[in-house]
Amino acid sequence: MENIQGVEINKFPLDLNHVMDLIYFEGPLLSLFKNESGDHYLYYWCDVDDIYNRWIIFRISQQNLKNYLLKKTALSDLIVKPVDGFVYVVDINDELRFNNVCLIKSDELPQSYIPESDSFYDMETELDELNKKEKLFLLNFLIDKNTINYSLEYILKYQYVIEEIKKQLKTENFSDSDLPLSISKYPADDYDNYDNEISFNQLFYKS
Amino acid sequence: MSLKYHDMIKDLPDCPPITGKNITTDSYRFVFNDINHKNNFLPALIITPKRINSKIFSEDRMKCSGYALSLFNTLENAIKRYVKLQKSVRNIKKTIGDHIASGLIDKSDGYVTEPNKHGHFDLHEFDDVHLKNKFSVIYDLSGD
Repeated sequence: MENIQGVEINKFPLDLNHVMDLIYFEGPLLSLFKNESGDHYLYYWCDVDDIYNRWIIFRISQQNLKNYLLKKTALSDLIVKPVDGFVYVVDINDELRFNNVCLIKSDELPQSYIPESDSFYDMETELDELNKKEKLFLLNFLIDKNTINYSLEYILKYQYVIEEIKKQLKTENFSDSDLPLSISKYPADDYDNYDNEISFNQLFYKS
Repeated sequence: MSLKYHDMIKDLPDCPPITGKNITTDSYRFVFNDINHKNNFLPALIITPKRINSKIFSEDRMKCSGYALSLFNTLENAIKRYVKLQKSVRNIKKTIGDHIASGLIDKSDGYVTEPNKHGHFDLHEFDDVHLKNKFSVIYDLSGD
């Protein structure tokens, strides 16, 4: 593995809960985690040797996460410009033991750990690997009322992705009651009553 | 015929999935250039060190898939997936290799799942199957 010139720390200081894997091939490559305060963190796989897998762990803002999911921001930008100005690099063995925990500025990371500049999220492909709970999380994340108002342009652009999530969910006994609160509280047949809102029928109930 | 990882998956519901068929099909897999590399034909949950940082494989569906081999139905689909992965994960070659091997899978090899729309499918191998003997490296993804 590459030599890391960071500040070594005794113990990984965060207590994070797994939310979902965003990039997956024969195991996770990019995973979303959350702490008790609701802050999101990304685990990014970057290297391996005979004993350890190496991960870069860093906090990500809600907006940056949305921008990444909506292909407005590349993964490289998230890693190069982390919210906290630094990232953790940890080596994790088969027993999930953390070793060689260090804190490092992003600009000191080896070049091979930085994704390409056009590393935009390929949701269409990754959807195939997600379970129902993860699809619902994405659906909720992508189509909450604020997001729709904030970035209608992108929602429309990626409508096919949302439709694909819904289509796949339907094959898994998805029902409207499973809809995230942000949609279910704005029933489709009543959307005209929501001033300045886009047509929910148009977007989500096109059938 | 029993499955190679029967003991690990026997208690998992619907494993292999009911879509699992034993058909004859061309298949393509990411491998290391050396066909004898220890990880070339091992499922994710058998490879050491495991690329697991979460409880992902505690879910039955993922655990089942973790004991299967990832394959693609066409060379094009395999290349497309690799190129996309490599944009985000430059060192992907260190964990899944940087070549593609191809071979004909038939009913004597195990059960295959239905390919998804990107051509990816799983093979649950039978006990005495050694794909290394049926596959050969046909494509270099390394760009070297």
